Amino acid sequence: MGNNRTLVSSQLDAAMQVLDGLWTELAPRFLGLITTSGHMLTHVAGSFRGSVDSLASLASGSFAATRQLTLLMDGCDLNVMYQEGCDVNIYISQVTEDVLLVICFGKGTQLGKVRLMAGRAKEPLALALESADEPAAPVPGGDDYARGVSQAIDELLSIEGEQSGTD
Amino acid sequence: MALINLAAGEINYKIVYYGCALGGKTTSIQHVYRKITPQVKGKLVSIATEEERTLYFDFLPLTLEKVRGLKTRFHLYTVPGQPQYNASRKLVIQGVDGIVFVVDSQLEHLDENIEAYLNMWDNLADQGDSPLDLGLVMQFNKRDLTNVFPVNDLNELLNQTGSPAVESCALTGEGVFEALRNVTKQVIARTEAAEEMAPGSSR
Repeated sequence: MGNNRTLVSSQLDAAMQVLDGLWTELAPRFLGLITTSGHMLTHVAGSFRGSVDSLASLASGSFAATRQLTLLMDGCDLNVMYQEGCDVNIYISQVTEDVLLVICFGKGTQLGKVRLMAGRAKEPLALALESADEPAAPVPGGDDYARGVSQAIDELLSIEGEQSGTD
Repeated sequence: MALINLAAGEINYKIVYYGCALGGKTTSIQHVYRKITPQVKGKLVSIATEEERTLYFDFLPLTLEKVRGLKTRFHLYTVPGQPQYNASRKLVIQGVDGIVFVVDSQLEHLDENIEAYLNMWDNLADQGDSPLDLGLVMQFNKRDLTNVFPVNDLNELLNQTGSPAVESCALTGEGVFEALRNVTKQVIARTEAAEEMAPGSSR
């Protein structure tokens, strides 16, 4: 756990600029950056009204499984995945070792254009996420934060709560 | 590894329920979903077979209120327990911060528990992790049954890290919150320690 990943504002601002450009070009339903372990970094939800947490966990899980499948089948690594749906298509592209770009788009957008724009966005996104102009600050609050969260956990997961919770 | 998103003002942790098949991992996470304050929980997602056996994972996000301006989020996952699903387990534990190892306390399942425990060590080692570096709680489940190993024996056989152990009955929920509380506190403490060791570091 010594290698926590810290993202600072300048990194996400730079990434959001790239996503904004993609949004303008593709007008997708959803656009987001997720980690390979299933966390959402940032997103533009558009018309998507579902749970972004679920989307992140399922997209990262799906990409990871398909990647292992391709390795198993032909020994080749996978850095792009496309899934055609009834109404919405999903395009996932690996940006860095641990970050994926997820684009959900409708039938009105051509896959070729998504491929082209996602390919162009890859390098600036990787650059934005891997370099920070400002040094990452330690977790704000330090001891106070840890104490506060610990107290919140106690309140949330108290044995009394466990017994008196409602279905 | 925790994801500290200062831009969004949140810290994200991944907690995984690990253990042998039919040990109570999914039942535990379902209990959390049913009983926890509605305001903190997201949608419970399960990728399971028609027989409701976990095929890939269950997923439940929990979000705590802001503390010192930071939102704390715990993403709870289960792994499939059946031996043949090891490839899926490896994928689910990527980036894990804490593990609740759910033990089936019944006498006849000892070997499956040991196999699952060793498998956890192997899979963590494959990704460069170790249970010694993570939050870890042993949840001795099915304590309501009569044909169970004494906790001391289970501790001696399975708890090689000397981690906190909690007796549970996932069906009724007894001990489930306690195990989760313990592991979440461990990962918070470990993040703080890691930040102190590497101030200002960024990957």
